[in-house]
Amino acid sequence: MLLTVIQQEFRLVRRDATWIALAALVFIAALAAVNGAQRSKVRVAETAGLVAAEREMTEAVQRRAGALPANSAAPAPATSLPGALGWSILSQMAVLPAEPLAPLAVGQSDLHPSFYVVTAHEPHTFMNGGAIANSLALATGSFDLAFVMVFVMPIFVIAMVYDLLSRERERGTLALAAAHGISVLRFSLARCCARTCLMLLVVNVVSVVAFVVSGIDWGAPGAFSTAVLWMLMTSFYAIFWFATALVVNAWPRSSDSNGVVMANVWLVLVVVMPALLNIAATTLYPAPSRVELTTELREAATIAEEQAAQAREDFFFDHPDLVSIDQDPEIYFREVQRSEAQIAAALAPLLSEFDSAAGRRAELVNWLQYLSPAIVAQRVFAQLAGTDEARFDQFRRQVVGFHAQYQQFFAIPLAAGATMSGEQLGTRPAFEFAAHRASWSDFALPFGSLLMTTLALIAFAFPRLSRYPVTPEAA
Amino acid sequence: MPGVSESPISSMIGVVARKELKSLFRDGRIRLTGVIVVVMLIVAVATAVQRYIDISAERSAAQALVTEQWQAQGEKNPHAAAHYGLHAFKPVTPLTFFDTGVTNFEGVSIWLGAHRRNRADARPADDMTAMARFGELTGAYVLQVFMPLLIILIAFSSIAGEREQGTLRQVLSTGIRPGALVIGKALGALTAVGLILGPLLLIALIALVFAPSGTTYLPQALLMLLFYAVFAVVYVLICLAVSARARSAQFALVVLVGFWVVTTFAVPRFAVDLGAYSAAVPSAAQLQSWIDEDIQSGLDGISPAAVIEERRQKTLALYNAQSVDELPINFQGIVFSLQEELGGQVYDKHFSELGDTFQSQIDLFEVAGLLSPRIPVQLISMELAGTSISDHLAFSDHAEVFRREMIELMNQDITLNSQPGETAYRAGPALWEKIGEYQPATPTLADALGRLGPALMTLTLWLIAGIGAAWVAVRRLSALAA
Repeated sequence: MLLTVIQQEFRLVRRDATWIALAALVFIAALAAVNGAQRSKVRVAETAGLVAAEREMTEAVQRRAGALPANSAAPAPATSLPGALGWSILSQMAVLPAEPLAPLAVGQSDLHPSFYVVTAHEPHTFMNGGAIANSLALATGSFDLAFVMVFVMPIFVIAMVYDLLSRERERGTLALAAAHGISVLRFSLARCCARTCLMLLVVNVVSVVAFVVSGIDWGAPGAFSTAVLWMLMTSFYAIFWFATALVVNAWPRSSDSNGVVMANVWLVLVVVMPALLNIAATTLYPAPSRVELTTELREAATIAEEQAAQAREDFFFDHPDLVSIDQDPEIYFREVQRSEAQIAAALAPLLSEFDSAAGRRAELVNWLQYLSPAIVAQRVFAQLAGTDEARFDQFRRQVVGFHAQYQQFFAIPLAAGATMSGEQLGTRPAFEFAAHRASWSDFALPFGSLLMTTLALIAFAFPRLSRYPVTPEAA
Repeated sequence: MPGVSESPISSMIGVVARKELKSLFRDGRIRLTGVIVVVMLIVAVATAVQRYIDISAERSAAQALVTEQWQAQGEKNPHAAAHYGLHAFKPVTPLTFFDTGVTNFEGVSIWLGAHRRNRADARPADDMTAMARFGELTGAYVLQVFMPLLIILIAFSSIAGEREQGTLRQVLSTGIRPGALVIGKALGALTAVGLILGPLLLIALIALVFAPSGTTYLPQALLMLLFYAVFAVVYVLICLAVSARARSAQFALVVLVGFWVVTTFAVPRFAVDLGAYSAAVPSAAQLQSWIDEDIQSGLDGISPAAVIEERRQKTLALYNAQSVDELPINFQGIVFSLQEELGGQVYDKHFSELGDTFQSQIDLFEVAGLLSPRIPVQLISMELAGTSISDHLAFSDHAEVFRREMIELMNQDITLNSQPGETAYRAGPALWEKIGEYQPATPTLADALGRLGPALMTLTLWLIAGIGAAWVAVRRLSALAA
């Protein structure tokens, strides 16, 4: 009999508009996947172009520097002077590589730079600007697969099951089923399971199509496991919404009322909770003022300037290119290094306050995310795609660490008054992002929380469904 | 409704509206949504008012502080002072507390120094959690996102529900005209929304009046409310049209909630992404490398070195001198001025191209407004609040004018008051004070209205479409009554 209910359910789906809705979901998701793939391709091509240009520049400098042996007695050209090379001519690209699933969730990648042009100057001079972006686009957000799954897919689930029992009761078919000896609990579970299976089939097919459209490099480390985790999270999230619908249906209300309640549940979990969590995090742990950082920077620059005044005067106020040929331009770069280091030291406490406030906010969000499965799903998707806040934070920290090494490469010969050969420049430090490979256990809590919430909802619905009145009059 | 058949149309509308309102408030379904919307609006407005007051005071203080730092920099060469520069802080308008627009995703200050036009830095979004990407809770967000859902939940069963219950024919048989029925139901729904949101919006208006320079923005606030009211009317008309057409109230609800999700979230997101492909924005590094290349090679193919040489020859001829050392002025000051002028042209070209790129993307977003009523009202709201991209670009241009005047003053001082090759020349506070404090230009109503054309047209089209859909609904009801 139960099998009959499930078969009947699939027949219903074929007959009513559900299959059209599911086809629409597949279409929207495919559009999002294509969009994400295109966006990712543009980003990778742009970064590759910049890296190539930077490499070309380095090779040209190396060739010119290579014309002179290191520490030659002849007057050294700028291309062999460590100060000019490190603080003026050369730079090194530090690139955050895209993860295989990056096209599926834009996350914070449109807000934060995925590369820095590292020079021997202090990090506050080259890491202070974000990527150029249309701020309206940033404020609006991106149309990616993660958005479709987190925002749109639940609406389709709601449309499929908000009147799971209420409509049957209103039509009188629930009483008919009861007359055939099927309990309301089994009837509702059979219907819900049939529709859940259908949705799981759709979202997983959509995910696989998105993987193909995005051209995922399956040979990349972790590609397969992140893809599996993506599909698992999509499935868990969809099941959560079916379980929620089951609970809402467990109350003998009209279909209209069920629809209204489900719409409100969606509103609270997907829109209200994230907004409130953001307000809570930024109110409880506000970042120090960026305006204050700007004025602090000026204070520090003023103090450093006073000490650097003599060197600046000798080098015509930041124009070593204008000084006479008999001046040693390296004196200027030594002074630049010293004054910038002084400014960086003055800024360090305030920057560390920014870091610690950001850390506290992240920790708060980390714990409170479990208030909304939508937040959990969004964060997991971003993490799997490598576009989450934590990865960008990790990237920034690694760039700062790399900078110290890079600066030293030029600062040591600069202090010694030595020149650099093309061969030496060939050993210039290069940046490589040390990715933290997320293990399955890293996802235990988000997946566990979704599973527990879903089970709790089902457990809550069971006793009510057993007592569900089969006719409107019995309610 | 006894006796309705003899009543004039206005009276019929009144009766229907009162009945609709009464039944809406008796129905518990909208209470939940109403409570959510009201709480969100309270949280949004209450947190934002304090934030506006704090930010406004902080920016004014910071502007005064950098001016003080500039004037207290002691004696130094004017070119060294130009390199020291100062910061321009973006003004916040009182309506920012209601609609933050793009302000959190744009920098709040621009460093104004020699040779370079800088982009604004210190974006508030850099200090927000990733949760902000779901949508920032502001009064405008509540009206653009939550209010339509509230309207849907109020109106989806308005006609379809009556038809299902069999009361629609009864009502029409009392002689009430279908047009009066639809208008009455629309007025009832709008009054319900007004009663839920109105008191809070009134409090927000009072808060605006008492906020610093709030009264200046009162006309913008009132216009904003007017356009949000039009937006509400559009939604009510669409809901009634769907409710009249749908085979059941449930079907109407599903269609309307789907419409809301697609037009409120999906279309705007897809439109901005489409805009990014149609007009790609370069990376900061790419933009800077183009600028550097153009500065090196010269915009019209004549290198800056050649332009400087030509000016040197002219200056020498003017003063009948053989070398710059014989000039009564310091030619280096003229060189700095020329470099600024040529560099300025290059920056103008690239910033203007960047602005055009953004404008193309916004144009496409405006066109997408034909598919989403949220888009025109979002653009109108931002413009009136002074928090749009155009407002940010206007601030950036205004600050650049100030920078160039400041640098030119420094260069003129070098030219006129120092000797050739005199690196030891020093100017003092008298020169620094001539610069004064940067006074940002605040966005005006005329600026906003000048940019509202396309969005207003789109919103009007939505209103016409809504009225058309409602008219079709009236025709259907007329057929039913016949």
